[in-house]
Amino acid sequence: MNLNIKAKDQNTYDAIVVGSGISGGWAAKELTEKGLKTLVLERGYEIKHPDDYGNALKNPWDFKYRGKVTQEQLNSTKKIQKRLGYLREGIANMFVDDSENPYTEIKRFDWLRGYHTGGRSIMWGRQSYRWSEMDFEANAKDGIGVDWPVRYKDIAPWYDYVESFAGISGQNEGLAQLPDGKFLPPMEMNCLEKHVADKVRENFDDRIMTIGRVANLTVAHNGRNKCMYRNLCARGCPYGAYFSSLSSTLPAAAKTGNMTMRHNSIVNSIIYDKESGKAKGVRVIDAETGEMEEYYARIVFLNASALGSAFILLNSKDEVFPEGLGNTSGTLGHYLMDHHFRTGASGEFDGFDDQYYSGRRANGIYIPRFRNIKEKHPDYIRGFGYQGGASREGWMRGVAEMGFGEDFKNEIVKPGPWRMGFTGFGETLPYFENMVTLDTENKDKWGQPTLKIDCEFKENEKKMRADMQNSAADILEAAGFKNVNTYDAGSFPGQGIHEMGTCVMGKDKKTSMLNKNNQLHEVANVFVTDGACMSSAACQNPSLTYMALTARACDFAVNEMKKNNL
Amino acid sequence: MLMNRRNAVKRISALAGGTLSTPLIAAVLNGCKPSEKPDWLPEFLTPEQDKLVIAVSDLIIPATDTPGAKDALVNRYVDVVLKDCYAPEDQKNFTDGLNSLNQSAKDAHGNDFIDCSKEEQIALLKQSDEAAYKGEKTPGKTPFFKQMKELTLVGFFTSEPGATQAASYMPIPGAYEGCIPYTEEQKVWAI
Repeated sequence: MNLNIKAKDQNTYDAIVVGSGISGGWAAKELTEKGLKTLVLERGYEIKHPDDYGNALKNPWDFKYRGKVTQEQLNSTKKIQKRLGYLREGIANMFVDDSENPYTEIKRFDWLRGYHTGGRSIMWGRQSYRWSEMDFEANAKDGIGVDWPVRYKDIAPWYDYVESFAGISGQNEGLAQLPDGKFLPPMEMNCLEKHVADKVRENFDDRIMTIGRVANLTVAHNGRNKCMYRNLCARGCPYGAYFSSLSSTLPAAAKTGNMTMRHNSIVNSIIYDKESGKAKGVRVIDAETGEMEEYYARIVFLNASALGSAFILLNSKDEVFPEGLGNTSGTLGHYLMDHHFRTGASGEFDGFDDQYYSGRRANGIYIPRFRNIKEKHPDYIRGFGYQGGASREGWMRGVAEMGFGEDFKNEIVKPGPWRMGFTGFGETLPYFENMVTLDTENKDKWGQPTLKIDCEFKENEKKMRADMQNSAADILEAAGFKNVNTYDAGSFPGQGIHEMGTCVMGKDKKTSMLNKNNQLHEVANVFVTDGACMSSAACQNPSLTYMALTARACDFAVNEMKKNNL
Repeated sequence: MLMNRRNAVKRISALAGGTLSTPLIAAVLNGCKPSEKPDWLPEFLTPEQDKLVIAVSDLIIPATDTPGAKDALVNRYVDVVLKDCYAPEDQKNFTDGLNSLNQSAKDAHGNDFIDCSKEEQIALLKQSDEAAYKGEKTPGKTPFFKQMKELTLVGFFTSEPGATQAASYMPIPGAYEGCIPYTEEQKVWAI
């Protein structure tokens, strides 16, 4: 491509950030606030906060199908996503058109993507937990995967930093396996949850139940409004009451005057300069015109999501790096992980008939990991946490029961019996053979290669799942529940939407892609700080850790630039 | 698309520079369509099936001191969801069920279901209810009456009259209170 000097100047920035989701938003904020002229490239369309949240304030009756999706959608644009049953009218539009974004599954992998401003930070579950020393040490202790090149003490101040800005509500509990944080006031448990929390303390030495730590504001914070308890977060929040790139980091970045944001900009590859041994920029395909253009910068942050960043690196091939940028180790694409879940137990509770609740809490309860902390479990390593909640049954119970008519109606317009359920979220081990590769035969609509995903849960996860069911039932029974049922709805990688690994951090450039500062070992001005960098998966929801690692890497990068090391 | 009539008048007034003849205002307020044309027709069900759906849904959720399924126009929801959201085999299961219910009415009473007495209708529905909840289950297939109940309950409690009058609905709660005393007057939350 021939560009004249003027055009090259126009396309030159101090930094390029690829992706505007949870970690990309943080990179944009940190780099611009530190004075770098930053280009943020988002592959999807533009959503303006809050004007474009068209469904946010709708009532149930404002939806033509009252929440259902159509057969036409399921059979055209949602062929992959329909396997999961996540889809709802009013939210389905936030997820990509599967037919336009193909990939190959060697084994089933449900890849759920959002290509628009803020990426999946609009639809994320907002549960925000720190990782502990135990998580950062785990690979070294077990001799599995790649040892993290960082420990909790390295990341702790950055957890403080990102929590203070993002606004996480929660309760400090003083647990080694789930460190305390800088929390806004916790949300309240309902009557039955309080009862169960008490019974867990009475009956078990090794576990507690706490209110979920969630990126929803319980008080106004940093110019954003407090949560209105509508529990419609995934439609986009007009109050800015939960953390998303759109409500939080991108406005902060825009305020500096240093951010240029470009939508419909698909990063195809990184341009590597042999002479300097550094990246000099990125090749971008305009999603609408299909034209390719180059952009240049001193540093590049990849925040395109685990699989998205892996794609860009795998597709950045030249004679120096024929297997993908910075991939002499041969680990790029490997150690793909997700949490396994969709298993647990639920039960009915007699009592609290004279108690109800008001408002729709956009949060549940959390039982932090309790396995393999002091005693070793005989069947498996690592552990899981439970998410769940208690509620009184609503009018839908009328569908499951016989009856109709006046008495039936009068019954179902009253709140029903109390129920509570737990779903386990389990750690998946980093297996080298769980991987993603470039598929050069099947091209996307822009003529790019696609991804081929080969990933599965194995024995350790299967054994853990049996315990995830049984331990949930133990807790419910100890708390006096009846008709306790365990379930395992089956879990496939991708469904947790916690894709991690493929470009992992490590101490040794022979066995990992990134160093302790999220720099490619072999190309110092390329940073990867999204889920791709994770050396292990722990069992906690990972987004808060991406935020902390991103802010930390940005700080390092800017200091290195000041010292002229980058 | 429905246009709020008051807004329509305002817009037309604006276009006409504020001077509108009385007959034209009257025409706008009465709607511009000929009055004899119904404002809604089923697109998936036949008019006869639609009448049957109205009758059955209103027997499931009758009007009491609060509106019922017929008041909430549940039949319109049933028609559009059947048409666009149901898989072909589920559509067939539903229409077969409707036709078979009507046939049972004819066999037992010599009348279409909607022409049977209320007592006869209730007795027929009790049979459907028993068959759906106590009868043999076919894997992957939802019995007709269970389909009908789900459509009726969802259609009703997500409608404005159902959500706000039969149940209780707060669009913007503003707060969460985990433990509040429950009194008989308190209705179930719509969502």
